[in-house]
Amino acid sequence: MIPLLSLQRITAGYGEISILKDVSMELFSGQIYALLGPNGGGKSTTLKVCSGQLLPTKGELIIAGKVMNGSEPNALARAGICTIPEGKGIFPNLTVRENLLMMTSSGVSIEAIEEVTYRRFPQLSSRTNQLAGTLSGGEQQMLAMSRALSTNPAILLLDELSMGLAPLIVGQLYEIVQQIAEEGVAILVVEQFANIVLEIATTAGIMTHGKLIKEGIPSEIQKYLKHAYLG
Amino acid sequence: MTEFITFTVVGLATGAIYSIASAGLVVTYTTSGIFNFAHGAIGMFSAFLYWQLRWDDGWGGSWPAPIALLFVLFVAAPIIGIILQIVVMRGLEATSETTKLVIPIAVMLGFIGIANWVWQGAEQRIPKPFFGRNAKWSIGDAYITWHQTIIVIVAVLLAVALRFLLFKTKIGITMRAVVDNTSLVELNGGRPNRAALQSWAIGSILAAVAGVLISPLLGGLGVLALTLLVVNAYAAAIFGKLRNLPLTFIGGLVIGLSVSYWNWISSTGQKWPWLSELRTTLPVVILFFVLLLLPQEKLRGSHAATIRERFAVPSIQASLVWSSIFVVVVSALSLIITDKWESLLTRGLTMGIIALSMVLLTGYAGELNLAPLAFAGIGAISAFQFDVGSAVETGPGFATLIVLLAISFGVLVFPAFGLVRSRLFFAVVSFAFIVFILVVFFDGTTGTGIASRESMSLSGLVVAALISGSIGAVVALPALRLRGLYLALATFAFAIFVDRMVYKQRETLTFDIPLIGDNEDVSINIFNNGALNIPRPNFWRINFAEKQWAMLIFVSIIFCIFSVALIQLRKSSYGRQLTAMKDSPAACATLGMNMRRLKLSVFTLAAAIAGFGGALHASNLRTIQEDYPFTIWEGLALFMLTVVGGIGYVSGALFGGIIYACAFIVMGDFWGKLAEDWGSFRWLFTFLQDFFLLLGPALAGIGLGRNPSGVGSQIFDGFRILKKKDHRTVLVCGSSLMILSWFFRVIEVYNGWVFILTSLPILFLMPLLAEARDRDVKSRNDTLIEMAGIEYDFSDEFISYIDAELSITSDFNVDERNTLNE
Repeated sequence: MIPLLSLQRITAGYGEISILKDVSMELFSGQIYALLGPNGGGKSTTLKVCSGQLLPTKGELIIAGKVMNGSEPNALARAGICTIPEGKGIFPNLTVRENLLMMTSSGVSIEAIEEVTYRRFPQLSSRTNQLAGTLSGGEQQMLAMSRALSTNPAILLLDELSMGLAPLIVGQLYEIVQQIAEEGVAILVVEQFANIVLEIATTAGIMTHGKLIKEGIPSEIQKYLKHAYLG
Repeated sequence: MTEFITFTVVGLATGAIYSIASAGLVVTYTTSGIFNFAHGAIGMFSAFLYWQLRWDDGWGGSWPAPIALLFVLFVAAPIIGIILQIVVMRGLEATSETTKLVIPIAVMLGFIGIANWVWQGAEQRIPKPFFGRNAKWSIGDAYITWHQTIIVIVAVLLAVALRFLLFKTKIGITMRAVVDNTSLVELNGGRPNRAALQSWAIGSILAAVAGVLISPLLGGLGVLALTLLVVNAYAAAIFGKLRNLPLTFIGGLVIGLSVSYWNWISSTGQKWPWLSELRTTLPVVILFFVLLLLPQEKLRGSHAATIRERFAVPSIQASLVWSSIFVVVVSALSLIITDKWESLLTRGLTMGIIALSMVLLTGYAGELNLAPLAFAGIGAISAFQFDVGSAVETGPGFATLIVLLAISFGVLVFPAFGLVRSRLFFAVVSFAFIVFILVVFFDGTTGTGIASRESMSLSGLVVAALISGSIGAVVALPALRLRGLYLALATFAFAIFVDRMVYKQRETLTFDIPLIGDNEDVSINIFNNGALNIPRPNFWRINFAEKQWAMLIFVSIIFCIFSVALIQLRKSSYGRQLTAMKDSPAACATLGMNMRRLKLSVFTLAAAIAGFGGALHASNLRTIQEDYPFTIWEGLALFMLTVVGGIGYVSGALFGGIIYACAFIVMGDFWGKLAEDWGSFRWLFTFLQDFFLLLGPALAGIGLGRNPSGVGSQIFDGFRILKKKDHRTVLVCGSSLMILSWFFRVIEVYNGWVFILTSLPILFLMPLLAEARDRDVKSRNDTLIEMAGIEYDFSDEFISYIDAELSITSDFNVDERNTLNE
């Protein structure tokens, strides 16, 4: 089985500073890969490389067997990579419906998107014409997640999904993540706080100082976490 | 009632045009973050193009209205917008606010240049309204032309269409989404670049619509008048905070109606004739006040760290050395160049002094000011009125006024330098005393001598600085809370105000101010019928009027004094505060700095410098007119060229001034002369002449995107290499060759062209040669930095010596090394 997403010896960074050094990883269909590690370890940078927002200086970004180095992020998005960036992945000055309309670039019709979204998150359906910036934090993240649900991506990249949200909502969101994975989507989850993710992840990796120092099944990784965070 | 309806309709029509234009401005600003100063110019250009297609006798001409309209609005205008976005605006990411402002200004000047070039001549170009002049209908007795009707209908339709586009279509929603979060649009699979193109195309179409609609309402097409008319739309856009379209439309109507009602009021007899120009100035006055009413912007920790612009501070020593070299070079040049060139250079240097005010205000303190020449003009007028003016009858009162100004100037500016309490008091008093001495003893404030004065006195210059400094403070006071673009627009409004209300002022103003003029009314004719004759200085027994070279050297010395003082200022605690305020106002606030006082003082100081420079510039020109040299356009060009030269450096001011006053004229002359000499290539050389004269400044400005720190410093950096000891031979040889060439010119072995052709290449070859030598040296020991020292071939004896010194058994080491080698 070929991996849906594969990083081969990636080196990447900003300007002259390399953040990622020689990182390789593979992500298969239906897998939830939890990328953990302390602040500044290179997790979000890895995600940026995967989504095409950052061009690696060395190494290859391979998607479904094809080298995709240098593809524009919007091209990758249309090809089926759905990225929910850190913070709320929404447009605060657009209404909920307009936010949903922005998701149609992936080729899915607005009706289908609305149908999926409102079925999954009924509380959004009463707020179609409200500015997204005025929703609660949880609702904003739901709105962002609805892109992952409705646009049928092959690969889902999630950056700090839990940031600033109540634990209850985080639990709900990760339940949804698990359901998405069951449909065969390959999911890469970046999190600083590991516990919730490790419960649903099928594979986990710890990243510090731009290197993937440990990779394995979640229960195994759990033991190394303290070591990685506290040095 | 009839009149009311007529004036209301006129107001609605012009207001509707302002609304359309400002809507275009809002569309481009919200989607790209760039305030398109060229917006008005695009409208102007389209109006001319439309006229060309419809009514010109030459190319185009007599196209039917619908086809011409379709072509101008939906082919030419969008193409202009798209080209602008791709070629110019796309390169503006991560540049400072100054650069983001300057490049659209450059584009605007470019359009003005092109329009002046293509549509030359004094030919009257009068576009007709739609359906002709007589197509009208009536409400009661009031006639409404079809043109006016069409304008209002178009505005309403466009408002609805824009609303629909931005809120109901995918294109519009993407355009709005780009404003929120560009990278998220990409992650959604959208194309932000395409959205930007679309918004620029739409903005440009709206400008074109406004231009075509407004042109028949004027007497005839005029490049500057049309460009400025759409500038009125800026005020409307500010109504909506550059964001809100419905408010923008309301703003446009408010402006149109107020101008129209003002005309109505003043048509029934004018109580204050000096306000007559207000009819054209009202929009900018509204602009100024709307800006003041905007809610306070949040203090930002600026994004200084991500900006590509860096300004180093030269050492005092270096600045002194460079200044002396500069004065010597100018003096040497003055021996060999003609009067014409001397006068051009003097113009450049006096403009450079004005540009120094921008180095202080914009370069050091980060406060944008688009009205440098308005302050310069005020300085020139003050010098005239005080020194030679026929209006101000002198008396002890005037000296008192000046001393009061000096005191307030001191109180405003000196505390910023860290002077407090007794020291402040002492400084202010002594400053006022010096000014008093200057005013009294260098002019003799008794008698009527001043009225017939034939020369500018030193005190005239000081008074110019004081008065324009105080006006700077008055302007800055309400504008203190503005920053960035809004401040730039407020100063822009002020510059237009000065252009219209001061330079075009023909009325004699009569004041009854106690103390002045021995309790008689003082009447001032601000701008004597459109021209002021300002004499040359005449002190230290040098007659600057007859000796252009003396003026040149005098001005160059003044420039150097101001430059060194500015650099010293930049290195002082005051200068550090200014830079801190530029980099992060939020950080300054948390440090407890009083930014209001800082801003006020720096504004006052900069305006004073500009006033001083303006008086000098005027006195060098001898005559200033209402439309030269202190207009808003010239000011924008100078501002732009100073930014190109590097507004953080005094060398940038020098570059800006010289290029502004000389370079394009010289280049134009050069091609003009070639055109005369080479008859067969005349068309080519005339083309090049026009090209440089009209488009030179704009192109220089557009090139700025490549090097936001300016080219002035780059040139200086190039010469810095010559300071190295290795290159002393190059420096000495080069300089002696140049001195030799200069000497040959002095004894008239050859003419000026030969001098230029010999000395300039030497000048520019010197740093190149030094660089080449450096590269040569580098390539010879081409070692990787981490291998330096390791690859060195140490002899065995040397190694055993080292080992012995380090008390290591040498036998062991030799073995070790052998195993390593294997």
